[in-house]
Amino acid sequence: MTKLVTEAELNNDAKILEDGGAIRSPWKMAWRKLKRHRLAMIGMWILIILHLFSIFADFFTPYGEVNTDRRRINHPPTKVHIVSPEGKLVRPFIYRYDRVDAMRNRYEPDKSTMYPIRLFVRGDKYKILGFETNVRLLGVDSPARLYLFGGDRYGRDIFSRIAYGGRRSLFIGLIGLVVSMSIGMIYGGIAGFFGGWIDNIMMRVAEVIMSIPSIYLLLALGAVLPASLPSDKRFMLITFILAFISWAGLARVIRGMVLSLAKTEFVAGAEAIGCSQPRIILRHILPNTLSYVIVNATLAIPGFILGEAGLSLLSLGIQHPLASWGNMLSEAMNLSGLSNYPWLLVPGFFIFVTVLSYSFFGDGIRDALDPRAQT
Amino acid sequence: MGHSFLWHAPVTWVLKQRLFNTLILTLVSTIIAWVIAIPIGIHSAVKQYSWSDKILTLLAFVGVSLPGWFFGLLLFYFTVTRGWGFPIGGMTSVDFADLSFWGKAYDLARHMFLPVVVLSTGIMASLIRYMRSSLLDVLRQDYVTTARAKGLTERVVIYKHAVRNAINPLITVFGFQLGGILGGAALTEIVMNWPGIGSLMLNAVLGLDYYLVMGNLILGGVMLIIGNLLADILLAASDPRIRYE
Repeated sequence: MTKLVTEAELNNDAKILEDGGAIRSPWKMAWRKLKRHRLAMIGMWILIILHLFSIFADFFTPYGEVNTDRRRINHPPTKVHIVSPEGKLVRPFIYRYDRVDAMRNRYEPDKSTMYPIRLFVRGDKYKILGFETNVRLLGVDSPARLYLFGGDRYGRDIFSRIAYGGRRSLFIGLIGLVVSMSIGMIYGGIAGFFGGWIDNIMMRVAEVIMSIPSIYLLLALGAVLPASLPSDKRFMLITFILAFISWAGLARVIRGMVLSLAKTEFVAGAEAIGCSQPRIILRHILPNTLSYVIVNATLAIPGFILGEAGLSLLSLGIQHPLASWGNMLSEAMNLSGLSNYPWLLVPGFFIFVTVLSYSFFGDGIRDALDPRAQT
Repeated sequence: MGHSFLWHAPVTWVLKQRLFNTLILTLVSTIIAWVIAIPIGIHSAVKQYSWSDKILTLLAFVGVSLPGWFFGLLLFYFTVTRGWGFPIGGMTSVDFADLSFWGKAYDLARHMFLPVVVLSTGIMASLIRYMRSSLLDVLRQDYVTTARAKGLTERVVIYKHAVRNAINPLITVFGFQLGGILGGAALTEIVMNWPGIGSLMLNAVLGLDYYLVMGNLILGGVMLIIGNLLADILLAASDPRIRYE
């Protein structure tokens, strides 16, 4: 007897074979959807590159974070040439810049010697994976100094400092996010699960925090930090401040979702087989809020980055000599600095590109994880 | 609310002085942003996936991601180097007191122009995205199809049926904006030297003027609650399905 096979079934079989016979999990399907979102993928790659650039800042940059040159204050960006004065195409080189007007910090290139940009040169020492080394990707010979994005008022290279600053500016978002997400999820989970007066008190507390404009709270908390604090402790405290002002909004939404999930049958089932309450909250209810949390997380990271930048911009955040994109910009806050040395604004573009990439990526993730969205 | 150490004046008096400056700046920006953003959002949704929609959506993304203070610094830089005739920072010229009423208004408008551009860009960008997605949701509803099937003109379908329903979620957004009106402009005010609540707060924080800081925080909280209340009232007024007992 022949079995009747519909065309749809045939197509379906063919598709499963194409995928290697694997049944696609929801995460895999989301990933496939995300891959089709062009802007999201562009954002993702930019973010990956920026993060790698900061993690391996020691290798990718020509100078160390605090490598100063007091004779080259507010040095303009060095132009990279590839055509020699004789008109021949040569490997990229730069000229040495000499200060011609010490009063107004004017620099002119000295065209007598060419300094080729060398790869894998020996520069400032650093440690990587326990080994001490001094090999850096880019560099030029000694009397000249490479300033791809210009230099600041201590003669430090802005290009290098952007890479080092990313270690604070980029990662404050990720660390702060983990902190605020865990507080928000557990807090909202407990409030929503127990309901009643516990929920009432917990939500009123969260609302008090939400009712204060975050920027004022940020300013007030930032000013409380003593100036003598060691820089790593300061970084952690700033992260916690940022997490502290942002967990409440998440807690409220999670609580609403948990409230409706707590009435579902699978929770009643878990209760019936004798699961403890913490186990029900952590293993059964919170995982169901995960897709919302992931979307919310990618869209919340820019808030942390901008918060740190704003705080450091007003010199309440990361302190010199450590770099952060915010405190690098604070030099551009006065008009003479801004109009004479516009390259001080470069870190701002990095903040902008990072935030933009996160919003593209977050938008893509939202589309990918939303089961209602058609492809 | 106590006595300000820095100003040697009651905190309420100091706050009243600055509150007007911040309110005029943010209200003007909000109004301009709404007037421009709503039609753009409607256009984007109606002509979904057209070239103009793609460009406008991208611009909205850029506008959302561009931090206000950075945009402000960029505008200042171009104003100084390109000689655009706008004053840098401040709210009034030195001879403000001697000007006629229209002279005063003109002077104020000139000083306000750059901060308003910065603030309204941020508000506009997020509004365009809200309006677009909200209207797209509504346009997929069955009653819109019904309205088209009845033979109504596209104009009536969109403006009478769709837009009126799509605007409801935006009223909640409006309430949030109203609540965040004091905090939202703070960094821009500080960077662009606008004598508003934001710069007041920064100085109070740096000068450890506790009563002024507390007064500021309370004022911000009160504004947020008023904003939410106003949004609820407006929502009830515009949406007949919502009734408060």
